[in-house]
Amino acid sequence: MKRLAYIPLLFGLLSLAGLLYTPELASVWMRSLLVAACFLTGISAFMTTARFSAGDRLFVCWLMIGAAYVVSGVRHGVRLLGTTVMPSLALPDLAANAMIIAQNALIALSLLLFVLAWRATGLAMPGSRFAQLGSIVAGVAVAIVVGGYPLLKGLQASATNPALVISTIGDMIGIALIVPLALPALAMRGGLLMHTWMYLAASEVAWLLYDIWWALQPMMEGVRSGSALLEAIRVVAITFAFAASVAQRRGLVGVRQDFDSTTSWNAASEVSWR
Amino acid sequence: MTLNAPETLLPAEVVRMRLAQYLGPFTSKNAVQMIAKQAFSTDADSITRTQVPTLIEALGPTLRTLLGKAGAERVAEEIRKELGL
Repeated sequence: MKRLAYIPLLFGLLSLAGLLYTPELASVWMRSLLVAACFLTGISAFMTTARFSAGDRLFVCWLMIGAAYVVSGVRHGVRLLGTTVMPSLALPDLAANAMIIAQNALIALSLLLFVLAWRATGLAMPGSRFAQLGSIVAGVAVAIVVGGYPLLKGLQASATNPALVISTIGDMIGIALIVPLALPALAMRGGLLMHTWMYLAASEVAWLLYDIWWALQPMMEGVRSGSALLEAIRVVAITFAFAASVAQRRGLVGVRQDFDSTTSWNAASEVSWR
Repeated sequence: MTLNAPETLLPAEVVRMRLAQYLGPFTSKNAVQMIAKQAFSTDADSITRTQVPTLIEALGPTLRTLLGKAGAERVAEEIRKELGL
């Protein structure tokens, strides 16, 4: 399960490898990776959805994540085709904006539902209530600091680009949920389900870095590695969601083999109660 | 039926160990303790083998939330099997 964390790293490095090409080729390379990451994550999330029943809380969460990344994959895919093999192909602004809004709303809502699902279990979080509240407030403060500037810019341009406002609000919600997603992971450390929550939180941390780097871009105008790093961070964020979906599936099916023999029972007791 | 779990283990310990595979030791311990208090007004370690089906029943909503219906049922079945219930 830990090895799943190498997947985002690999995608990030592959994306940065675009710097070895000419600017035009690099753009195609990075966008191709982005499209692949979106579809991979979307399909994997749908596969995870299928492991749940329709009435299960996490069914809707994974369905939304799957839909969000497929929508994103279609949007970036059309743009890729439009800049390469089919120059006449382009999404109308209205459709492109609707897709951006749908993607951001679905991700934000799904993460919120994950957090609410954990709360519904009534299970305790690690640390004192003061520490939990403090870390959640700190997470929200970071979201406001990071998202505040793009949100203001978005609000100023809201008449012409409402998608920017929704996108920024979605990012802020996601960033604010980093701590509420990380706390269950901490509570479940040593268990298979920990990885799902940890990778979801890691995905949002990567989106946080993406937003920070994006805000710094005007200062780095003309620096090619700056925009390449931005693309790499985006692919890392998406593929962490992919890792989370795989971890969830493995968490649901992976135990029985480990635990059916006396030997593994003993091994498990040593690990669990040391 | 042959028990998979060593008989020296307390029933609550068997449940905790099975849940720990999914939820980790911290949360599995808390979950079993919380449900034991709610359902039997007792400490988890005082739970008898005959009380385990009620304990599993009470853990159902929590497990279903995190593992889904099928996953929760499977874990419950595994615990029953390990305790020979």
